[in-house]
Amino acid sequence: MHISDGVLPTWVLAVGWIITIILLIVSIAWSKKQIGNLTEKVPQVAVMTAALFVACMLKIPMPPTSLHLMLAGLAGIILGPLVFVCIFISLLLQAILFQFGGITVLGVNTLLMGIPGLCGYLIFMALSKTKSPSWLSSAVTSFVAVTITTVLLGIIFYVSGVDFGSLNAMLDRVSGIPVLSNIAEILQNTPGLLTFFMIFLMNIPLMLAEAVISAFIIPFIEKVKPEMLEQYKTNKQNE
Amino acid sequence: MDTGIDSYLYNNTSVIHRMNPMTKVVAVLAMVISVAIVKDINMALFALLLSILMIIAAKLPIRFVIKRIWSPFLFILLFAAALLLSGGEGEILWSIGFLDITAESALNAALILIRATAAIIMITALLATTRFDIIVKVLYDLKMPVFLLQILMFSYRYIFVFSDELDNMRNSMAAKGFRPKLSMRMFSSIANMLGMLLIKSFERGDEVYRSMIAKGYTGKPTIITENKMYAKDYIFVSFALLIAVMIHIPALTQSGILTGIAG
Repeated sequence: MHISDGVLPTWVLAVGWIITIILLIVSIAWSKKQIGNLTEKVPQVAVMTAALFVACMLKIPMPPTSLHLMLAGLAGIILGPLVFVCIFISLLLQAILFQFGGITVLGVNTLLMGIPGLCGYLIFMALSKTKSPSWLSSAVTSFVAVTITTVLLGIIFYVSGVDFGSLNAMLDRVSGIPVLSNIAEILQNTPGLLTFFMIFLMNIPLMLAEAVISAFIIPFIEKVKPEMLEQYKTNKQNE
Repeated sequence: MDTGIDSYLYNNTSVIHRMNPMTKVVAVLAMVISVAIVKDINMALFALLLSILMIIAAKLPIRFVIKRIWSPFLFILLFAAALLLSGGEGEILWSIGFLDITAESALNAALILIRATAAIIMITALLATTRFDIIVKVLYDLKMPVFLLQILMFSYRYIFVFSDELDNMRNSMAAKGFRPKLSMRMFSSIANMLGMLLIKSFERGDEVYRSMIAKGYTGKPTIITENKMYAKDYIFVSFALLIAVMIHIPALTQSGILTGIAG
């Protein structure tokens, strides 16, 4: 996510940084427990971060515009708990290289993609223990990851005072129409739901595109380089 | 290929280019953090002015700066527009169709637009005058965790490698007749390309690690930094910190926190 410096209120920025630092420590400790020596992982994670960074710069045509992938779910599947570090670094690089995002807002931006990344890892881990084929698991993982980002973004917009209040007036206009007026009423009466609804609408193309792309990528990796997904393999054999 | 990735301007020298990197990073960081949370619109305007002064002092071409900040600026505009629609208290300034824009939301949107732009311009001024590896050295000196910095440094180097790699793959796909049109086939082709990119990076990471071990890598940094700070650097940093604190005084006074001291 590229929320810029100076956009969000101070306390949101502070909370974002605090949670990010905690999650960084937790995720590093977590992967230390899994792997043991983290030094070995430095080049690996760095190089994968670079590749994911480049992959995210690719434009996917999606008429009428094109979109950039987020790939948080996919990164979670491939990197495990270290995905949080990967996302922190790639957002820092984006801030330094393109001025996308920023320094003060780095915490919030990392949470927006890092939490979905970690969730993606857990979801794919859980799904790999079931009989679900890998294309389905990865599609579900990516879809859920983008959804989580959307929900988090909605929460952050809402607490930052973007509640699309003026759209409320617009919703009044549809009060004559039977089904629409019911929906409008629910949207108006639940705080935050309108914000969430707007952001959700904007992100639907991204959710679908990520799900489809991941559904192709993970089986491809499984065929060509199964070592990359080794941790999930051993899981299946253990059962 | 014009990567346009790095924002450092090589063929340029100015006072700011020659300044001690540590001084520069600390001063700009302090200013950016301060500007990003400033609540008074006049002070935000002052910060914008300051950021433009920085650009002038660094002798950065205006077109370069505009090109750099253009796309993040669009995101800021989007957010400001969303804030504009957020209603809020106060009189209604104008109504477009059924959308009412109030004075409060307009002021909010303007504040955010100005301070965010100022922050981006300041960061651009820093990054266009300081090489990336020098910034990383400064971060070492500022005691950022080594594990993170090493990943940062490595990824930075490999971004250029993979950017070329991806370009090659795209060219060869285009040569074989691939046209990016929305279809399942397009998704499958792009996914295979990205998958290949990830696999290559995985193998690359392995090789890099083994070659580094062979060269005696232990995970500890071996960067020797020679960043001597002189008196003028300390003065400059203190001055920047002072301004960073000062621009919050009006908002603090208004909210009544400072009135006790002032009165």
